[in-house]
Amino acid sequence: MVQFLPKVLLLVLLAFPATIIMKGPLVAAQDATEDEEAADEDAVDDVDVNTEDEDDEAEVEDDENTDLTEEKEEEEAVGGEVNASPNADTTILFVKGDDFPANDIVKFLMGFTNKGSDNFVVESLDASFRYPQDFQFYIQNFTALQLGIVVPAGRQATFEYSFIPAEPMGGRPFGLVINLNYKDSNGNTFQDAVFNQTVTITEREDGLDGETIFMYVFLSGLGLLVVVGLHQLLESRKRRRPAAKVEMGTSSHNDVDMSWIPQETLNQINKASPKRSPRKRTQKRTAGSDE
Amino acid sequence: MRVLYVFALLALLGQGTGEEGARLLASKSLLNRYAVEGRDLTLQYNIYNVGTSAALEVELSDDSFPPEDFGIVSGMLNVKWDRIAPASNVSHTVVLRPLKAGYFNFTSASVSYLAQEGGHVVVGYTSAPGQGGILAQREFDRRFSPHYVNHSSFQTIGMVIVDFSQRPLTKLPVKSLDTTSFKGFSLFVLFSAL
Repeated sequence: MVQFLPKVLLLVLLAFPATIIMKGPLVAAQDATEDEEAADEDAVDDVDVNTEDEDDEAEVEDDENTDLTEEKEEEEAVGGEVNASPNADTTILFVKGDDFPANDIVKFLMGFTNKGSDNFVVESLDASFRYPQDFQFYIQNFTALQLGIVVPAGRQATFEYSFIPAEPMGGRPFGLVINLNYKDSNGNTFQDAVFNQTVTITEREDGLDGETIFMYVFLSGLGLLVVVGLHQLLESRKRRRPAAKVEMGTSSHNDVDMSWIPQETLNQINKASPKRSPRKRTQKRTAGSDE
Repeated sequence: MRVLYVFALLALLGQGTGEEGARLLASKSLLNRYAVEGRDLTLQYNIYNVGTSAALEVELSDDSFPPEDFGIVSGMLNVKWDRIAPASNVSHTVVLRPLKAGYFNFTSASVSYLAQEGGHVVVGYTSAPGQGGILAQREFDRRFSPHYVNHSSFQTIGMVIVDFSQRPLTKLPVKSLDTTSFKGFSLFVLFSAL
């Protein structure tokens, strides 16, 4: 019995992780169904890529000229999505112009015309940035504007929305999709992709920003370093060329001040030996006498 | 130059609608950062014509502000324009004064115009800023007023208390030190006044 115990323990230890691994695929399956419902993310989802609109190929090419003359009412390529109602017309106007500067407000007005005879209830307006080559791949989803506004028959309504493209997005093209969700009096929901094109986010060219300032500081530091290095090099070369100096002592006697010696002693010294310096004589004297 | 682009854009968009006539987009926005009771509240209405022809007999009317809740400081809530040319815009500003604090739902104003000469009247609604809070005067002042009275009273009272609590407690025996202590005291008074 005791012999079997370690074997049983081993079996249990092996079986435990196996059960966890076994449970794995079940969890993954649940995720897949969630994805289908939300119709979100994952360009890895190959199924959706195949049903991609062909127009996106053309749109990638014109990043610069966002051709606004075409007003396409594109269908969402995900299964089960709704289209625009024929009784409603939409139009869009970017208030601040055609360019989308990064880190700056982009404001637009969306106009909605109810051409039909029934009320429409405009539910929400949302904007999102998509991957330009695959509009099913969401890059950024802006907060939807919840409206719930009733537009009676024959009337028009305007909705204002603004968003700010993030700073790092500058210089890149993105697919911008602006959707209007509304429903009619029978409860049918409609979605109109009022704007569905690739736009390029422009960068704001500040003349002076942190990067450039510190770049200049760094360059000036480097320059200074080079100058100092050269200076040091030249200095070191200049010093090595002359021969080593020999200590000669105070050999020049011209700058010695004699005024402290009393006049009669000076006369004595000068009379005795004019060439010899008094200093040397005093040195000789002290050398002889012990004091 | 930018204006030119806007006009070009508007012109292109106008062609894109596929229908002849004028199309107006109207926005209503609050220019204030804070709406405060008893202080001016500025509203701006912008009307853009994105259609292919001029909009005629444009009338903007806003009746979403009850007179007992909002007083008009300047501007009118009912405005008329004879025509708005295609690919152009007009703007109108009204200054109101909220008379009550609390939440207020800023709803749309209505715009009516003729899309074509002799056509029928088209009625549209402007965009609505939505629900906003109107701050009471006290709340706003608590955050943003300069608080002169608060600061000056604190300074004087504080100075009095601190200065008089620093008076030397014992009389010093040395004559010269007396003057030093007085000097120090007066310096202290000076510095604490800063």
